[in-house]
Amino acid sequence: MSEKKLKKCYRLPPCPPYDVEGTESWLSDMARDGWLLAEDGLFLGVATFEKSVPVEMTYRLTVAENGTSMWGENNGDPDADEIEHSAMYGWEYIAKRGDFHVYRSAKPMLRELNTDPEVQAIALKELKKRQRGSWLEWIFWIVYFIVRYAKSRIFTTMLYAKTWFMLLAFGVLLWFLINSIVRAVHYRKLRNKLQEQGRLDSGKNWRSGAAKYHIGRFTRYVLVIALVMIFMVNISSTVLGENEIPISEFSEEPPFATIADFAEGEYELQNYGSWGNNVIHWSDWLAPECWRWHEIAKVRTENGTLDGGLYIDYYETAAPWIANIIAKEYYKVARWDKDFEIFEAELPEGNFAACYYDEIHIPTMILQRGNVVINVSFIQYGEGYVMSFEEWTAIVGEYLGK
Amino acid sequence: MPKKSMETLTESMFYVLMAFSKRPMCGIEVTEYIERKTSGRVLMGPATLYTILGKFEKEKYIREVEVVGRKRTYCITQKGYDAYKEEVARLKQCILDAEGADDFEREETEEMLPSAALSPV
Repeated sequence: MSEKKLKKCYRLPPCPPYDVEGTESWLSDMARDGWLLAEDGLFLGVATFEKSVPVEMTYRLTVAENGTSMWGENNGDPDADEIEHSAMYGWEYIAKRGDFHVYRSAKPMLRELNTDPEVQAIALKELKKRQRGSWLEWIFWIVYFIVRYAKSRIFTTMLYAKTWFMLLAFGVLLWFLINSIVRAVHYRKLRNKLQEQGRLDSGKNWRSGAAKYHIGRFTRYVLVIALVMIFMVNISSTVLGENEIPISEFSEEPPFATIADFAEGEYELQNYGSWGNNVIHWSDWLAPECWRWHEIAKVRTENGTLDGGLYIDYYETAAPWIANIIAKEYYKVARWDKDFEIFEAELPEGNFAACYYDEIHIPTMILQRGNVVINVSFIQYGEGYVMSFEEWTAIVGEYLGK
Repeated sequence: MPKKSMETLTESMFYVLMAFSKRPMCGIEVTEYIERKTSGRVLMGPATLYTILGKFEKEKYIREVEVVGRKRTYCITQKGYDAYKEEVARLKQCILDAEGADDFEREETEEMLPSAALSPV
């Protein structure tokens, strides 16, 4: 005879995983309505119930000392010894949620799982310590990321990754942090209750905060999913170079000087495969005009052939102070390079102007004038006509902001 | 001053250490020992027991010596035994203090306490 399939229903828990009393109360109410939590029935924030007769069932959440990660010890389940021992007193291990293991019993009067409130409070305190460890881990990785990758290029990173995206990511991060603090405060309240009253309130009214919790959770999920999707799209666009447009196909006039403006003569783009000769043009809240220009070209002039590569980052920002910060960020990052080398040269006028040799000895100029900032490197490898640094930077300065 | 690992043992913790001070035991044996020893006054819930075992293992008061099937057996360490003896000495001192309290002290507190608390047991 084939086993009759149990009727199932799925519910979103009405309270967060750290709300021990709310979860216990909700699961007991579901049992009273004829729905028993299925084995391993709490997964990815969804609870699975199986149909039964309405029954008085007591649920208890116990602190999972070694966490509940499925990659952890015993796949996040309690030790087999503990499960067997609990079963002796009528407690059946059923699932895990957050930092807790969920047990149930139809005859809880045999013996409570927790008989010493002080020990229960100690277990909750251990959870707080574990959380502190995970916060430190988070902070370490954020600092590591900033130092290793962003290198204090906060504004330039925001411009490239888009300010709204960075703010969204920051908002989600802040939300997680606040949630962690709320959780820690909640654990402290539970500990205080255990110390004052000797027990938790398993009959708590879980309905009162359910709507607020559902809305918060839904919003958080939507934000996180959106963030991940946008991040993946951005990454794939960058890797595949989808944002890059070949200069030969680009029809807009850039608001800065290019190799064609450096010298008069027959202009020709040089083909170096997929490297160079492309432009990325985008807009951001902080800088409505953002350009990244990579050009390798030669110009046959009367004095010989000018042959070189031009690399430009150009921004027209929403306010001059943003442009100034960006200019200083470029300079600060350049100075960190071990091959950074400053040299004396006459530069065009600006609110901020600096020149140096970068890590591969390409002469570079940073120039900010008002709300416009440009970081430009020009390498010349022709044996013909070679422009002096002052010559080509003067042209760049002349065109800037026009 | 170095931080003490556990300031005071709770009653359950004390009895768990007492059990291990006799011989190595598994969780169920500890529960049974305590029940027998206290004539059923102290009933140890499984969650309480395993929280204590975890805590004691971290503090190196006990260590696992054998795993047979699902059964894990632990034994007390010197550190655990010292903590147990220290607690026994503290409790003995408490009893001595209580027995040595003179009548003068009781008279002083008599007015401050409810009459029920002072009635003979």
